[in-house]
Amino acid sequence: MRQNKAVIGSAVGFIGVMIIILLIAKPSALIFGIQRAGLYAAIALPMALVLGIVHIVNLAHGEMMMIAAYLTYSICVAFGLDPLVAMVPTAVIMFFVGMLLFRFTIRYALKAPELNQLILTFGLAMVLSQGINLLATSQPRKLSVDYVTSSATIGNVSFGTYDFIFLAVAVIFLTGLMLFLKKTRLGKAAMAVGQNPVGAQFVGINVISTYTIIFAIASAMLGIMGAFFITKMSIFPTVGGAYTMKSFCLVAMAGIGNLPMVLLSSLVLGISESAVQSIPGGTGWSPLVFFGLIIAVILFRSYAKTAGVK
Amino acid sequence: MKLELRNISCGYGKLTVLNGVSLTVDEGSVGLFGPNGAGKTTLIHAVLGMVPLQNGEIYFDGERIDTKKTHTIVRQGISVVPQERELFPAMTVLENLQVGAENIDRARAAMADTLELVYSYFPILKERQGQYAGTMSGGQQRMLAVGRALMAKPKLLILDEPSLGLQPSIVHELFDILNIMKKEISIFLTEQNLRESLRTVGKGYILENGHIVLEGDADGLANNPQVTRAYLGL
Ligand SMILES: Nc1ncnc2c1ncn2[C@@H]1O[C@H](COP(=O)(O)OP(=O)(O)O)[C@@H](O)[C@H]1O
Ligand SMILES: [Mg+2]
Repeated sequence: MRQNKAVIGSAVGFIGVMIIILLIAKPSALIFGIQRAGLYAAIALPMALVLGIVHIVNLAHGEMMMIAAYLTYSICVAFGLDPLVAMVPTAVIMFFVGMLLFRFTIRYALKAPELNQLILTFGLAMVLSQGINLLATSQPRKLSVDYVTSSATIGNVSFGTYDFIFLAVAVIFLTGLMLFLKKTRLGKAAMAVGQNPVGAQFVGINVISTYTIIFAIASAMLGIMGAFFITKMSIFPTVGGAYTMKSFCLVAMAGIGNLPMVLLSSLVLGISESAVQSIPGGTGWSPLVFFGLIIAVILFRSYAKTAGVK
Repeated sequence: MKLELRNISCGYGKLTVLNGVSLTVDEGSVGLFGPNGAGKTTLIHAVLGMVPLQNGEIYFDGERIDTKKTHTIVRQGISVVPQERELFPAMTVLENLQVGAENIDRARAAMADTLELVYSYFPILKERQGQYAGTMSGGQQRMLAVGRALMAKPKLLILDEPSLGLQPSIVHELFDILNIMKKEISIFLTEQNLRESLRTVGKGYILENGHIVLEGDADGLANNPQVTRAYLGL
């Protein structure tokens, strides 16, 4: 508990300091940072859900979002729909895709050593991106949607307003998940399974079907994100990989099972990346910020543990 | 209520732990006694379908259950207080109790009443209802595990070595409560502490190396020289 408070405290403090510095020096970088944080958090939250309850690190996470983006793209092209309308069938299809992936692959690795689970989901990631490569070629695809270019100007800073939608999605995801886990019977059962799958069996919970539904829900969330993703970004078969890495690192920073911290760590990451990029010639340095932060947080956690901070 | 194990054998992989065990629990309370490693926990896990049978059958209320899944068996009315308690450490006492009832239709409908009943057996759980289960003492966790099992409104309550790791005064207190509880519900318990359990059970089995070596009513066991020498230290 105290360790958590310390982590939250330093995250909030860090964000506060960065906000003040950027507000004075480079307000646009602050806005981009917050928008980027929303995108990161919205993609990382489903992974945090799966890791917290199913205890599986899904290395095909970003690829599943990529699949969803291609699905939305195909639906839009085939039926002339807006991506935000195509989002609904995409989410539904992804729910069942997740269910099938879990039932026929991941389920069999649940009791296997962690390395085998990683190899399995890494293999899935390759199958998905290579599959898309075969089906759709490596040519980038993009939808042109007019509302994404809306912008606003405050003082002498102008910025895209549409990008705040990612932050909104992240907040809705987080609130929805918290309500689901605290208030619904299925959600509470999922919490129990996450804390102690053996204990969950003793109270009459069907553990495997709980895992399946949680994985399917996370996949549907990736479906929604895939649709939002293609409204703004171009997609290609390997676009997901970076998001797998970032999501994994954000979830590791947040601590397993800690969903609100995912949003905070995304803010830390998004704002600092954006701050570094706003320095002339800094663009190439932003991955360094990313990995530096991860290492700092993980070192801090291990230090706090060995120092006996509980 | 009747639980019947007919000539069951089971184990882990090639290791056979239980070898042709037959045992019946009907109304009243029954004990299964034996040293560490005898197979007591394995037997309970076999009843819950967590360890597959190599041979034999298990019937509950006349229905064969050894082919069913654990959650189905629990929902049919068998609740277990596991040896390792298996609580949800980051949930409060109250949440642990609620989750004990929520996944079973019959129990969910009666949740408020059962909660009062559990609190009447274990007032400490009511006092501590907002505390995280993981921060409670061993004795309190054992009581919470019993309470959580009762929340399922079982027809049969199984306790796996409830005295394990508890100091004698708490063991005594726990068995006093079991003695009240057994008027309402059938109890099947495994133990190494025969001194306490023989005042609770009506009938007992002695399990050694995967075989039932002796069975009889509580008085018979208490006066059997074999039992008094091995388990009561007389
Ligand atoms: N998961 C397991 N895998 C392999 N062997 C086990 C496992 N659990 C128990 N055993 C073995 O089965 C035997 C019986 O164990 P157990 O049922 O726990 O005995 P008891 O509860 O009477 O102490 C022991 O020899 C133990 O080592
Ligand atoms: Mg045991």
